[in-house]
Amino acid sequence: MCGKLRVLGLQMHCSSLRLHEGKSVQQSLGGHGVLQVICNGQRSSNEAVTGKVGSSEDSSPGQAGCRYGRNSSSQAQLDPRSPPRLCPPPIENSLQADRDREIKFRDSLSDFTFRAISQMANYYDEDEDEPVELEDDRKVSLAKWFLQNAPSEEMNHVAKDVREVLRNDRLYELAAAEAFQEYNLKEMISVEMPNGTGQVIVSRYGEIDGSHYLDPRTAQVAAVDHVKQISTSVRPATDEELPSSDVEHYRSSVDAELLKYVEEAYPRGSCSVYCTRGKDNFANDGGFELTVVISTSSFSPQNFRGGRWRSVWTIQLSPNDDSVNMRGHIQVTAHYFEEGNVQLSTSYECTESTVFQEAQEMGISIVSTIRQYESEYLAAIEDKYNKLSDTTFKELRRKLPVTRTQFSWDNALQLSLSREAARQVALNQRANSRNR
Amino acid sequence: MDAAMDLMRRMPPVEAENALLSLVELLPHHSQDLLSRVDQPLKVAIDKECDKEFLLCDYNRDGDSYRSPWSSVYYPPLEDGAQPSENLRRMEVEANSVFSIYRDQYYEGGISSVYMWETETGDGFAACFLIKKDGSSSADGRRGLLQHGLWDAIHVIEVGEQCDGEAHYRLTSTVMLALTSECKSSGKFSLSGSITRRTESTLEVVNGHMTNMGKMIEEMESKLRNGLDQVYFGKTKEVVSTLREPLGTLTASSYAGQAIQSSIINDMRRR
Repeated sequence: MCGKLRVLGLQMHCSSLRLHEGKSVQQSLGGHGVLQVICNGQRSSNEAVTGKVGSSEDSSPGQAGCRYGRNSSSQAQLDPRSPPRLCPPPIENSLQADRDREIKFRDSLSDFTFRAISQMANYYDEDEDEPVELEDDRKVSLAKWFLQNAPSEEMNHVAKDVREVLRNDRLYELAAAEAFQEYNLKEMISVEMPNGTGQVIVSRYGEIDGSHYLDPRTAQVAAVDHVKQISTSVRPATDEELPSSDVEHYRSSVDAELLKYVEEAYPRGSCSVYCTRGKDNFANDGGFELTVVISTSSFSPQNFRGGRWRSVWTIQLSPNDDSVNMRGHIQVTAHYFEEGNVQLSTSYECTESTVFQEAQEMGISIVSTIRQYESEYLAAIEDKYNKLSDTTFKELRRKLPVTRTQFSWDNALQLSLSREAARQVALNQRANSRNR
Repeated sequence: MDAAMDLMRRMPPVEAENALLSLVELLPHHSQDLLSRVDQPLKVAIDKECDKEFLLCDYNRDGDSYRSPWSSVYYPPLEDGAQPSENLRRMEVEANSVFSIYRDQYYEGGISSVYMWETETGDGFAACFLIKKDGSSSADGRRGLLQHGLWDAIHVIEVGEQCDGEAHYRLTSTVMLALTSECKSSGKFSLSGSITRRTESTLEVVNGHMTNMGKMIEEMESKLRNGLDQVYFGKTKEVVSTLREPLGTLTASSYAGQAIQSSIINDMRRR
């Protein structure tokens, strides 16, 4: 049913509404107020239905169940900290409300509010006051969103939570099947190959199909179970999956240098060098492209922290004009969550070019460029952190007032009182002079 | 509910609004509980009468309207909107003007609002002190260091009945922040987070409640700011140093440094 929806003084058309004519749906929305959704302008505030409310007693001990009185009208009496009155005010019958104030108020409405309203409306069926089950598709897509936003190495924790929230293993598995694959590729996780030949990085540069990933170093293809984050079997790569021997010569030379560097710089790091373009070209003098991937993570739940470093270097080698162009992209994430939630997310891009050389020199030259840029970038992050507390953070809040002493509450009180008195005096004077 | 709260602790803080809404959608029966336990960034409205901005929260809301702390008028207009008692309103006016001065000294800009209401038992009352600061270079950032910088502080304080010249104060504070600085040499650098802390104390009432409340809030804000700055940001920095070695230099927090430390400690134990 297509309803005309009037919300917070705003009129909008909403085709997705499945509201009974004249029924109003009310829902408290945190700091965003009670939302009143009224169809076709009919009002019946007494019929307002409020979503069933879970007990707030299960919040951590020693803390008021509801920290803020964000209760709906039906609960207002129960919590002494509630605002004085939460009952919805009478609403004018006419839909010709004051347009001016609607426009004024629209600024304070966000997508948040609008999305909330549509959602609230969707919970209620035409004939029932009970919330209607969400569509399965919607549940799966919300579950996927949570899974995809899992911090590095916390996927399993998030997955456990999502499964609990969904309370439907079939839907969870649908969401997990898609989300884990995207997550694994984005994070570039590494999994142990079952035949003991080392780890393979799950990255799109080595993707044969949705569940098979090439490890160029051992020339093997690993079957990966995305949800379990393990490799189930390994087979040798076919000739078609591997570069020509000329290109492989360069690839393995970069790989050998890279291994030395990663061992030194990334205590738990994995790395791989893929030929991502022109793997047969070199034989007839064409150019080719190598992609270097470095990925490393750390996770320590007992210390409430985790993070990941990812570097991807795309290297265009053109023997024709002796040029080599490198493009680097580094991303670092970190999460600390003891009694809070603080996350770091960085992204850095750079380019560099050099000349084409023999395979061995090429490997050394490419990896030393990578080493130099990544070391400089680490120093740049360090520098950002050092500047944070004294300069950057000041943009939000100073450590101390400009006066460099704590705020003088008593004086400020005096000041504001005298200001108020002065204002009153001025007002009186103005009034007096007008009277005269 | 526990799983939902755990998810809120793991999702990127900048996505907190999205995460909360998704949870509300998935768990409609827990929506009230979720919305009351998870803080969201503050919204801003304009008091036309005083031409001043004010902050919206549940404490200045009546139905669909929000009361401005400056004129005590509701926006959108509401004829019979709830008002604090005359005494409380006087204290509210005073608190707003003092808190504005405080806000200006620490924040060099931003918006603040203070709301007060009677609690239903005894002579006590409650107040919430709100601050929102946009520290981006395009807004109130004085130094132009941040492409994006937001700080929201929510302090809710319950004041018990006064007896023997003393009153009991219970404060719950939440700070949410997000900052991004971007430049060519170091790319994009974003930190975001939120923390909540509680404190209680019984204080002598000498110069009225405002001084006591103000001092508690000031102390708490400094604690939260330092906590974020020193502890929380510091911990994310430590994570970075466990990921990559600063080649050429050995530091106490790096992997190699830690390995050396622990081997020295083991050696000493053996002797």
